Amino acid sequence: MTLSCLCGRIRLGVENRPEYINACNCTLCAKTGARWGYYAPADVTVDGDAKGYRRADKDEPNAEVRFCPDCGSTTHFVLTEGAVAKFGGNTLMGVNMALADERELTGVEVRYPDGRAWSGAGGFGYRREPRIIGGRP
Amino acid sequence: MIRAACHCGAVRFEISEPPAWVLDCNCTICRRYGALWSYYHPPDHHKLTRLPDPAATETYVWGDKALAFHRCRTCGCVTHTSVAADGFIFIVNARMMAGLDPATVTIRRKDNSHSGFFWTRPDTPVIPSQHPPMPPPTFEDWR
Repeated sequence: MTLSCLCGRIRLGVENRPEYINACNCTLCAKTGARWGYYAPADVTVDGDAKGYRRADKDEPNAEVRFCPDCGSTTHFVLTEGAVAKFGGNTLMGVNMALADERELTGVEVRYPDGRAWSGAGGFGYRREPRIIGGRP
Repeated sequence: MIRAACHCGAVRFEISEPPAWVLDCNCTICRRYGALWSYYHPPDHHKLTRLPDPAATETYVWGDKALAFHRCRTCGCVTHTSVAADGFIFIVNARMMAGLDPATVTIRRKDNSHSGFFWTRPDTPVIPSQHPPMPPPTFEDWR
């Protein structure tokens, strides 16, 4: 799959569709408008220089969100150095599946984490049942 | 009074009341921004009781160049939309309103992509687009 911001300055390539997509309601996910698919960093190619944002309201943010410096589309996230150390390697990357053509996502499950109610440790709950893209609503 | 801000807080609005409804548009730009738009055309413009510092945002103008999409210079959140020609702010991205619960607000879904696909919950009828379908993408096109 090839994904692109609106203006085409940032392009992402992934071999496979994501296992699932998280539509999280935490302030960072909601305000950046992202629907995250998760990948191993080695499985994603990024073409173009995106701008990064690390939240300053947490001492050790795990993710740096990237967006296009021209059109402003949120494109992906990478782990911070702190998160790489904490998790024992650069194990995870997020790709904003809202950039994809939804026809390429038919059959993928969208989950709805309740990130806003998450304590920051342990598992998080879900605010509604998952939905399958292209299936019955 | 409700507050709306980008994630880092550099772009801030105060609004006299929560929106009765928000618009989810699935056109090529809105679906990427993941925005839920709340409208403040006159006579509702007075509901925006505090407007952000113009220096806090960068803009993107495209297509017919009628609208400027504003995002925070620091965190990149797409916060609002103005008339490109004069900067008049009349649309706020309701995702910036911390107190807004997308699970309970009325979401009007407008099918400007002519696909019928939306990321938001499907409990209101889809509003057909008044715009013709865009020409199909070409190899030179990243839409």
